[in-house]
Amino acid sequence: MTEPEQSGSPDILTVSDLSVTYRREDQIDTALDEVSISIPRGEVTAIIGESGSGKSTLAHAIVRLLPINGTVTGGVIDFEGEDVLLRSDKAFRPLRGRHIGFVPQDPIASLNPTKTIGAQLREAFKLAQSPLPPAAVEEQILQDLREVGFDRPETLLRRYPHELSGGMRQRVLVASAFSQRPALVIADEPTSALDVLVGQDVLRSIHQARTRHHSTVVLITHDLALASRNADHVIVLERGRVVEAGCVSEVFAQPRHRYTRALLASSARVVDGRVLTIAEAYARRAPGDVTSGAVPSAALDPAIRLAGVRKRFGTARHGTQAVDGISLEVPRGSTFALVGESGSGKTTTSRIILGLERADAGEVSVLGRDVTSLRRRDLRDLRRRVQVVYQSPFESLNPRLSLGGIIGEPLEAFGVGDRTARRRRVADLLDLVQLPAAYVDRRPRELSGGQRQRVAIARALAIEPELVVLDEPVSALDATIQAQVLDLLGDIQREFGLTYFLVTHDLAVVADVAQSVAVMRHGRLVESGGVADVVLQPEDDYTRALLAV
Amino acid sequence: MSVVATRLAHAVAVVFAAYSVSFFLLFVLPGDAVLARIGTTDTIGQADISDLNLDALRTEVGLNDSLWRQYFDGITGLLHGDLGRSLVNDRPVTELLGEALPNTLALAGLSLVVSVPLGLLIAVLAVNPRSRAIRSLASLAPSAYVSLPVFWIGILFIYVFSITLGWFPSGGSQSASALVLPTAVLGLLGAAQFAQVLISGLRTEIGTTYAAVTAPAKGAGRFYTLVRHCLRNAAFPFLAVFGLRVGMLLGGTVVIEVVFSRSGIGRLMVDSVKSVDLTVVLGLVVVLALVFVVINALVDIGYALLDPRLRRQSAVEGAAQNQEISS
Amino acid sequence: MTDTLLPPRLLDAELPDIATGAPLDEPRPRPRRRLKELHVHLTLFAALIFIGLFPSLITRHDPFDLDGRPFTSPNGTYWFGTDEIGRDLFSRVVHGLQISLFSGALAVVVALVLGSIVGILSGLRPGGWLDRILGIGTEAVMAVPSVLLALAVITTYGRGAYVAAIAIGIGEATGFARLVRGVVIQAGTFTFVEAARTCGAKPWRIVTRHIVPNAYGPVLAYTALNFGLAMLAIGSLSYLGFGEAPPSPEWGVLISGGQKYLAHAWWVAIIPGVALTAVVVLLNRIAYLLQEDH
Repeated sequence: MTEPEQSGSPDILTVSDLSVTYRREDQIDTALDEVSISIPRGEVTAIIGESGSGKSTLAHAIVRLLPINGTVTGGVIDFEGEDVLLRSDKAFRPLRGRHIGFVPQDPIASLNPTKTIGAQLREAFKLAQSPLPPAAVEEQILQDLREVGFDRPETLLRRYPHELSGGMRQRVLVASAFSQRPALVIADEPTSALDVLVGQDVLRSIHQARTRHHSTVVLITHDLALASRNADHVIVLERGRVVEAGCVSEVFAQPRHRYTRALLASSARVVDGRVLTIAEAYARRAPGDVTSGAVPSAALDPAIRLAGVRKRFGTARHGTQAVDGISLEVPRGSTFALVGESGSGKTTTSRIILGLERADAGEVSVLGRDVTSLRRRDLRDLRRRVQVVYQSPFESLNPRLSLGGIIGEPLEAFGVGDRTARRRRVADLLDLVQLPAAYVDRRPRELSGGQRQRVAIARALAIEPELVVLDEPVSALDATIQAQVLDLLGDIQREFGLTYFLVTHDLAVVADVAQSVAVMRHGRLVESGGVADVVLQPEDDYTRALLAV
Repeated sequence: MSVVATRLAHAVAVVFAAYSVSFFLLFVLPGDAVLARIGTTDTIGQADISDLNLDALRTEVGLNDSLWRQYFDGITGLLHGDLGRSLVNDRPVTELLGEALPNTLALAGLSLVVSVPLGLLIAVLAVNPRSRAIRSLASLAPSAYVSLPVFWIGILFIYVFSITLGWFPSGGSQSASALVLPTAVLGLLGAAQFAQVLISGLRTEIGTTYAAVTAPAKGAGRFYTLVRHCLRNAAFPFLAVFGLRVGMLLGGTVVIEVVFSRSGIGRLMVDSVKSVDLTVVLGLVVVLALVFVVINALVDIGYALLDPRLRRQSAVEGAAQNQEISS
Repeated sequence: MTDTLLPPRLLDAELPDIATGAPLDEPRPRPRRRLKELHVHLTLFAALIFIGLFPSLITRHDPFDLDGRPFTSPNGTYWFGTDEIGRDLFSRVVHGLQISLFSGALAVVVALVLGSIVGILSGLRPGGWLDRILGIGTEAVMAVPSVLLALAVITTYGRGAYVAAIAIGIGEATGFARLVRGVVIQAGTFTFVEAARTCGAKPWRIVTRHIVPNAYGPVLAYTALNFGLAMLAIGSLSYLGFGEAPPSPEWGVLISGGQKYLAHAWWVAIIPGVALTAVVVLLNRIAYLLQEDH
C-alpha cells in the first residue's frame, strides 16, 4: 500500500468532474454534478452553500464516508498526485486519520458515550498504527488538548462525553482530527450545532492547530460571516454545482455569479467584500430604514409585564435556576426581542408567559391578566388572545393532518363560526401568508421548511390574537428564506397591530425586526432597552461579544 | 449503593405482587377449586373420589376460612419460607419444589450457556459480512425460529435425531445424552431471541455518528468498529431485555421437559394442575417469580453500574419526565 | 450540558442515513414494494379467516368420522393421511384452524384492551404513584411464565381453548402495557401536541386527533406479532393437556396425540405443527411490514 508523499503541486487536493447520486425510494437524486475544485496547500478554504447544495456530500465523498445509498458515478479525486478513487475500500483506510483528518458536525452524536475521552483520543493513535510508545502518546494527547484550549487536560481524560459541554466536545474532536498530523483536515460544519460564542472558541482551536502543524483546512459551512472571517479561499456550491471559486475577499467584494450575489445580499451585512459585525451593519443603515424609531412608551397597559420572575428545575441541591429574577415590559403593538444563547433561560421565560410552565415566584401579567393564578379554563380563554409560533417547522405540525386542518385547529377548538365560515377563514389565512389556496389539502411533508413555517404562522393568526410569541421562528431556515419570512411577519404585524414577543439567539435578526431588546444569560438579564441603544452602545461585555460576530 | 437498595426493595415488592396476583386468580375469583378439582379429575380419569365429602375437604384445605385469613396465612408462611403442604400427598411444597427445581435449572442453565454465544454469532453474521445473502439469511433465521412452536420443534428433533437417525435418546432425565436434544431445542430458541434483540441494537448503533463517521475517520475498519463500538453499546439494551427473555425461556423449559419426559418443574406443574393441587401451583408461581425477579434485579444492578451514562442523571431530565399531558 | 440546543439544519437532509464506506446494513425495501407485499399477506390472512369460519367448504370428510383405515400415509383421498383411529387428518387440521384463530384472537383482544388501559393510565403521568403501582403489578404478572399463569387460571376454571386464551391474554397484556406506555409518553413530547394545546384544543381532542393517529403504528404491529405468539401459547397448553379435550381437532391436541406414533406415522404429529408454524410466520411477516410502514 503506497503512502502519499508530498507532491510539489500548489494544490493538495483536486477534484475533477465528480458526480455523486443518492438512491431514494424509486428515484435517483443527483447531489453533485461534475464538480471540480482545487484546495490550495497550507491555507483555509471554505465551501459555502445552503441546504441541498451538496457541500456535505462533497466533504464525505472526499473521505469516502458516503451513506449507503450514495454512489460516486464519475470523476477523479486527486490527493497528493494520486487518484484516490481508484483505491479499494481497504486500501483507502490508512489515509483516514493519518493523511486526511475529519471533524464531524454534531458534537453530541460524534463521541461514543460509553468510552472515556482519553480512550477515544488514544484510539486515533492505535488505528493509525502510530509508532509512538504509550508514554509519548499520553504526552502528545495532553499537549494537543492544551493546544485546543483546555487548561488542565489531565482531568479530561477520564471523563465521559456526557459530562462535557458541546463546545468542549467539539474541541476534543478537533484535537483528535489533528492528532496524527494529517496534511489535510476537513471540518464539516464544525460550529453549526453550537452557540456563536462557543463556536468562535472552536474555530480558534482549529486555527491554532492548523498553524502549528502546517495543515490545510477545508471548512464546510453555510455561514457567510464565518467563511469571511476564517477562510482564505472560498468555493460556492449551488444545487450540486460549483458556481464560483476564488479568494475570499475578491469573491465577497465582487461576486460574479447571480447566486453568489443573492446569497451575499440575503445576509445584508456584506459590504465591500467584508462581512460587517451586527453593530457595524446596524450603524450603517440609514435611520429611515430601521423599523425601530422611538421606543413606544409602555406606560399604558403593556402587553406583557414580568416582575421578579423565578423558575427552578429540579431540587434545591441538584437543579438549575433557569430563570433568576427577570423583569421586563412589552408595549402593545411593538416587537420585543429576548436574546440569549442556549441555556440562558429564554425559552423557559417564553413558556412561562404562555402558561406552559408555572413561575416559582414573581408577577407574570399577560394582556392585563395575572397568568400565575389562572385556572385551566381561564388559561384556555387567554389562549384566544395569545398564540405561538414554534421553532421547528418540522415538529410543530401534525404530519397526519392536512394544512386546512392544521390552520383551522384554533378555529375548531374555540368553536368559531360554522364550517363554511371556517373554510373561508382558512383560505384567507393561506392567502395572507402567501401560500396557494390549493395547498389546503396538502400534508406538511409535501412542503419545504419555509413553507411549513408559513403554515405555522397562519395557524397562529387564525384566532386573531393580540400577542404572538415567536420562539426562534427562523433559525431552522436557510438564510434567503429567513429574510422572506421575517418580512412577512413584519407586514402582518403592521396590518393587524400585533404585539410580538420574539425569542432568539441571533442579534442580527433582532436588529432588523425589533424595537426593544433584552439580553439574557444564565437566567438573568444583563442588558435591556431600545434596540438602537443596545446595539450601538452596549453596556455589558457579553452583549458586546454577541454584537461582534 | 442506593441503586442496589431500591432495586432489591422493588424485587421484593414484585414477588409479593406475584403471589397476590396468583392468590387472587386461584382463590378469590368465583370458581370453586374443589369442584373444579372433581370436575377435572373426572375428565382426566384419575383417583376415584366418589366418597369425598366436599365440605370436609374444603375445611381441611382451609378454603372455608375467610379469604383474608388465607391470604395472611399465606404471606406469613411465605416469609418463613413455608409454602404450605400439597393438597394431594400432604408433603411440604418446598420439598416437592426442592426435588424438581435442580433438574430444570440444570437444563435451563445449559441452554443459556449455549444460546448466548450462538446468538452473538448469528447477530454478527446478520450485520457484518459483505455478502447480502449471508446477512439476509442470518437476520431471517432467528425470527423464523421464534415463530415455531417449541414443543413441536422438540417432537421434530425427536423424529429426526432419535427415531430416524438414532443418535440420541428421546427422553429420560438420567443420562447425559438425554440432555442433548432438549438443550439443542432450547439453546436454539434462546439464541434466536438473543439474536433478534442484538441485531436490532446493532443496527441502531451502526447508524450513530460515532460509529459511522468518527471511528472510520480515524482509520477504523468495519469489523473493528462493529466490535469495539457497536457491540459494546448494543450490549446495554440487550441486557435490559435479557431479564425478560429469561422468563420466556423458563416457560419453554417447562414445556420441553414434558416433551422429553424429563423430571422437573414441568411434570410437577402438569400434575399439580391436573389434580388441582392449589398450594403446589401457588408455590410454583412464587418460586418462578422469585427466579425471574432475582435475575432481573442482578441485570438491572449490573446495567446501572456499567453504563456510564446512567451514573449521573441530571435533575432537569428528571423534572422534564414529569410533564403532564392534559392541559 | 446546555451549549448546544440550536436546531439541526435542513442541510442534514442531504444525508438521509450515514454509514461507513461499505454497507454494514441492508437498505430497506422501498415503501411501495412493502405496501404490495403487505397487501398480499393481508389477503392471505383474510383467506385463512374465511376458511376458519367455514371449514367445511374445503374439506371433504368429517373431522370426527372414522371413515378411513388408521395410519394411512398422505395420498389422493386423504391429503394429510389418517390418524390413529382413521380420521382424515386434513379435515381435522382445517377445523383446528378455526379454534386456533379465534382463541388466538380472543387472547389478543384481551391483551390489547387490558394493556392499553394500563399503558395509557401509566403514561399520562410517568413517574407518578399510579405509574409505579401499575409498574409493579405489570412486572409481577411478567414474572410468571405465561404458561404457568395460564395453568393457574385453568386450575380454577377448568380447561378449554377459550379459558386458556383469556389467561394467555392476561399474560400478554404486560407487553402491551409497556408498549402503550412508551408510546403515550413519547407522544407527549411531540411539539405539535403542545401546539394543539396552545391552540385551545381540549384533552380529548388532543388524544384523538393528535396522539392516536401518530402512535397507533407500533401498537398495530405488536398486535399482529402477539396474535402469532398467542396461537403458539394456546397450542402449547393444549399439548400439555389443558386446552381443548380430545376428540377436538385443536392443533396442540393433535400433536400431543400423535407423538406416541412418531415412529410409524410421523404425519399425525408433524403436519399440524407445520400448519401452526405457517400461520404464525405469516403473522410475524405482517407485523414486520407494519412496523416500518406507519
